[in-house]
Amino acid sequence: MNPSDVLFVITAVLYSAVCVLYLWSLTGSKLQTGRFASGAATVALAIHTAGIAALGVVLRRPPIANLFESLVFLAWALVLIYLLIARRFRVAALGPFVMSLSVCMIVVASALPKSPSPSLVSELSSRWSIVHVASCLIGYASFTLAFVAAISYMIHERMLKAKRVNVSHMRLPALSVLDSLAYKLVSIGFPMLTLGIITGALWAQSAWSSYWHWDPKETWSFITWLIYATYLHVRIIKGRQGKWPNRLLVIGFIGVLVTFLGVNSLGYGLHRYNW
Amino acid sequence: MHLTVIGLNHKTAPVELREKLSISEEQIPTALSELRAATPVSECLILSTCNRTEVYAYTPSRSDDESIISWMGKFFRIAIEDFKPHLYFHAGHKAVEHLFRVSSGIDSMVIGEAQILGQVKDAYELARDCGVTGAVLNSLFQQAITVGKRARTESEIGRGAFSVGSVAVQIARSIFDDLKGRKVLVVGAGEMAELTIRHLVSSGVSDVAVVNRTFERAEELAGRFCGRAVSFDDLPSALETADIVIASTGASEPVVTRALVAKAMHARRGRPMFFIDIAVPRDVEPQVATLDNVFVYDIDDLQFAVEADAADRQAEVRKVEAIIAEEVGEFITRFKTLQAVPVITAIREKLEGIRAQEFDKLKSKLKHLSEEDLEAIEAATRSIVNKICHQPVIQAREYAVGEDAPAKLETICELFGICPVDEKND
Repeated sequence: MNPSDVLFVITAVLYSAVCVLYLWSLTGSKLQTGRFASGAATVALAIHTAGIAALGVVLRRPPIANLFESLVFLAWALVLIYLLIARRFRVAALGPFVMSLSVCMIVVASALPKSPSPSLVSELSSRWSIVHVASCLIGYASFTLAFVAAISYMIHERMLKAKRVNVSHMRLPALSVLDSLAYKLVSIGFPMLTLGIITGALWAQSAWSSYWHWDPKETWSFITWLIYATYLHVRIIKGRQGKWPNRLLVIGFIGVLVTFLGVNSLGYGLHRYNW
Repeated sequence: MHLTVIGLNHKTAPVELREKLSISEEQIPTALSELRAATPVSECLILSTCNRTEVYAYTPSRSDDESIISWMGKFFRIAIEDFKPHLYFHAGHKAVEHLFRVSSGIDSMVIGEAQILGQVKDAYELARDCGVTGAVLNSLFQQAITVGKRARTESEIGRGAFSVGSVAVQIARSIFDDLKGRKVLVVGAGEMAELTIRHLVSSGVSDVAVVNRTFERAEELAGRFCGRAVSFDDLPSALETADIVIASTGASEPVVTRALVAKAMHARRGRPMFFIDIAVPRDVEPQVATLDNVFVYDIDDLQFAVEADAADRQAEVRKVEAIIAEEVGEFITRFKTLQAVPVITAIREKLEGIRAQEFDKLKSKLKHLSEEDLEAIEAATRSIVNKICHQPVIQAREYAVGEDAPAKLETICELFGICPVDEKND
């Protein structure tokens, strides 16, 4: 095993432990458990970072060139953004979701082939490529978290409507917190996706001498971009809050999934290599 | 020897009587020394709070309870027949269990309140500093404090109980998070409404508007919360700005209709609204709840949450009781071992006495022996005594924690011809 693989295994184990700690802090009465969980998550993230860095050193290039590398990077961005926002919002209740998602990504990634196609390496040497891939992935991570917030919103909203009031539901973040959290996340993710699409176009111009091909990945990323643009329009221009905008986030996440994973499995189009 | 607690609390005595039997902290040292002088107790402690007065004592016999009661009568200048019917008596493990229930807060008027643990601790430290506690009460109270802490960390007993008002606040918080700056609209100026507003205001709600059929009543209620009165005709526009609506009119038909709220929600663009309907019959049309982002709780819903919480708390009390049962068992074992101590001391003293006496006799007979030889002989006698002591001492400890302890310890005493005395007294 590579040193980076060992670090990723440790990371996955730690994330699982943190997930259990978060769950425990939600059911138990001790506040310290939650703080301890966040501390442990930070340590796990540091190891995750070290793993990605080690991989980069071994490969002598930014390690975001295939699906394995992208998934590991996506899991990393997910936890990083979560920990950054968890400091400002009281959203420890989302911890178990985020941690189990990240563990799933690392586990799935580890089952994938680890070498990119040779043609890709030359194409990836473009200066736009790194910005393109990294900003798309950070955008996806933000949208995934926004999806987690939206789903939590809907669950909490249902509980309130069903009038099931008890202590454990009081531990879920308030509706207003989840709502503004999702909004903040889209405010990070949307510019990142926009940047990703623009740099992608520039890269396409330098690699294939055309800005836009309407290949499936491009088309779907554009559809996804439109969904989140609609969300922001509804939130900012129309000033709408509540259930409706949150539904858009669920639809938007489906777009992310299709763009990120679905299109590749079709096996055609310009983005058909491993990621 | 008996461990006993005699006392009264909010369950057994009315407040007038509890007042008469309460002792201030300054008086306690005097009370403790008087109690020890007037009765045969070897250790004692007084716990006096506004809800209870209790005397904990370690006494030579059960009948000493009476002397403690008569001392109480004298000390509080109250006729025994006036307070004796209100007293409870617990002895042995029941007394231990009682103290652990008290320190963990499940014997309190407000179950799980935290103050009592501090009061138990203070009472213990006061008595210890007065020098009226010994091995038994010291270890009992130290453990009681541990039990109190365990109860609060290992169960949710310390969490406040729900009331209709606090449930309303909790729901509001799980919709709006911080209530600071949220606007509350009160429809109708009933008394129940006032209680609920009070809860909300103390949680940070600052903007209170009151709508009522009679404008004067609205002004009066609004005045109490630095709010403003709104005329009944302005209800539709008032709904648009309000985040939380408390409805408590005496109207026989719903005042807040679905159409009215739908219109308000349109203007609010989906910002959530929370209706607290505490009127009977209801003021908010049931169909209002079908609107998106609108949450309607009537008095039954709130009451249901209060009762569900009471059931949850009952489960927490059972958790605490399990902790107490475990700790009582532990203490009793320790307590019983303590009872073997006087017997063991008596055996040792008796045998040592015999040894010393015989050795002196021997010394006067064998004058030709050197200092060194005598020392060697003395060491041998000591070691013989220790070896003889060994088995009875172990057996005494075992008897102490087993069944029929007093009778068996008595047998040991008879075998050795000893009569152990307790550390009482001076």
